[in-house]
Amino acid sequence: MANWKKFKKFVQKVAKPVALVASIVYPPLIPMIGSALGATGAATAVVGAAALGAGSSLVAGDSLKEALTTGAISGLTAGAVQAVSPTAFDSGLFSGGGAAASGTAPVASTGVTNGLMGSTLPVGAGAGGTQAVAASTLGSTAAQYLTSPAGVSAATQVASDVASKGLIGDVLTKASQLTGLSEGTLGQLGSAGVQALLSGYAAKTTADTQKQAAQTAADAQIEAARIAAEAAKFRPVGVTTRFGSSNFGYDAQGNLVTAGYTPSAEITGYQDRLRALAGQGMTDIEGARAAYQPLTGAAQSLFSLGQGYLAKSPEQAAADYISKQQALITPSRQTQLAEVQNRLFQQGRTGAATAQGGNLMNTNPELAAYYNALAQQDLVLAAQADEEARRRIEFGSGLFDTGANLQGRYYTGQTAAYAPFATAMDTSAKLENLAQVPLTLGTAIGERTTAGTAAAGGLLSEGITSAARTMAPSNAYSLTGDVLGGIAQSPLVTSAIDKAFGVQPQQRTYTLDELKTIFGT
Amino acid sequence: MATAQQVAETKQMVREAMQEEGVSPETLISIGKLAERVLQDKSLYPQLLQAIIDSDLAEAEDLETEIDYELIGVFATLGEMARQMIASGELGA
Repeated sequence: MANWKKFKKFVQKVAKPVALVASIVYPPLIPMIGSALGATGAATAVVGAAALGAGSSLVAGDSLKEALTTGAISGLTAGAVQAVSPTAFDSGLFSGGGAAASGTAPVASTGVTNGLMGSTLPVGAGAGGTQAVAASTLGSTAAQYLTSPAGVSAATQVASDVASKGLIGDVLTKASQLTGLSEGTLGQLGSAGVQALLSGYAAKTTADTQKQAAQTAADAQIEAARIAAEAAKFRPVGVTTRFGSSNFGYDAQGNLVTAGYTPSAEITGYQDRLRALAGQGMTDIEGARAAYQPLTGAAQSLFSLGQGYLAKSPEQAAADYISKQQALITPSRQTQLAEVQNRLFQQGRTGAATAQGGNLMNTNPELAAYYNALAQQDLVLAAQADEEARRRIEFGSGLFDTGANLQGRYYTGQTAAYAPFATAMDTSAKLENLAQVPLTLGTAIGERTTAGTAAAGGLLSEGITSAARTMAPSNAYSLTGDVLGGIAQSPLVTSAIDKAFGVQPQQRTYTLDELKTIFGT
Repeated sequence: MATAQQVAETKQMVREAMQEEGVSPETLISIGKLAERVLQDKSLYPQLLQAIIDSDLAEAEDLETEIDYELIGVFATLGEMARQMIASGELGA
């Protein structure tokens, strides 16, 4: 094995740490090494790991050769492994098969019966020696012992002893007793090979335990999440009132998928009757335009009439008034004049005139009175004409107001025609709201209860998760302690080791069901 | 047990060592490929040793000619590690 102390600083710094993580960084490497060493099938992983892992377990850069100075066998791990032919690995060493190897391979007379690996190990070649080794399956007692905590602990201790002391007397004996292999067989595997196998098994045990613990924790977290999610599901409450009842539908997974309400018969009865009224109201709306159409014509007539009154100026209107009045009174005036003149003639006073005093000329008193009366009458008429002109203007304006009112009623009448329909619909909607109350109530109550349940579910979820987290170290604890190598994480290596020992480690762990039992879920 | 964190720490250490000792990723990749070829053809082992010497990672008199699978494994892993760090951008090509 490499003596890293003889390399330059870079290699000295990185070699051992790199060897430790080799199986993770470069998974194909280990079987490649195993294959190069002559192993095939599942054995390539174990052999490769032994070649690489044994060296990496050395401390302080000491070479494996130095570590094995006092060992029973001086061969390097690689050499020891090379001593075993590929056929041996395939047919027996790690496959557990019971068939003997090819008859072409000589079987050692010093072969071990009831040994570790199954069928016959034929002659090997290489530095590990030429001694043929015969091995049979691992005894059931040894297998059971290795799966027990005490067995794992013992394997760890022996692996440590092999690393520190080499395959010397008592260490070799312990390894032989532990594995059921003969000392000769172990010698063929070499110190590093035995150490790697035992350490690898122990590491695999721990890896399995940790994997199991992680799985339990993951299961617990999934279950906790499921419980929390289940608790957080919205669960409205069914409510029934005089006016209706709420309805909620769920799918097979308990998820709310539909929500609705059913109005009571009373509500639907009212709504049916209102529907008839609403229909009539709609008919009225449709007929309102035609019904109020005459208002539009009347309004237009008033507008035209008003325009006639407002077309004349006040003076013109007054003059027209005077003319009309004079036309009316002129015949009577002429009659009165004729009567006065006739009376004067009958009395013989026609042409008679009397003085009126001052600068006034002489005149007949009856005629003077007559014409004074006419002048007075004309003054009154003139005064009435102005007032009449104002009255005509006001009347014309009033016609416009009246016309505008009629036009407005045309529209307000149509708008008002909607009232019966709208009232029926509003009333029906209010009845519908009454029927919806159960749905609203059920949803509101559901929100509160769901929040509470979700909080409880969350607490339970946190409890389970925390418990899983707390118990994880205990679940993951392995008696193999710190005898962990990077090779234990390699699926190829672990698979091969499992195959070699044909057993699964047993470790006290808390299962998901136990956690659920603890928390009563 | 080698964990992802341990792998990350190892890569960090390798990266720092490369910088401190002036070892290029190309050198590690080249030697790593040669190490992989040695696993298929043991006769190439002397060439691997020579490459290590030429890269000033060891002196000729310090290397044993006997094939050393741990050495092969370490250099193959270093090459792969350099490839991964270049691919992830942790190292410049």
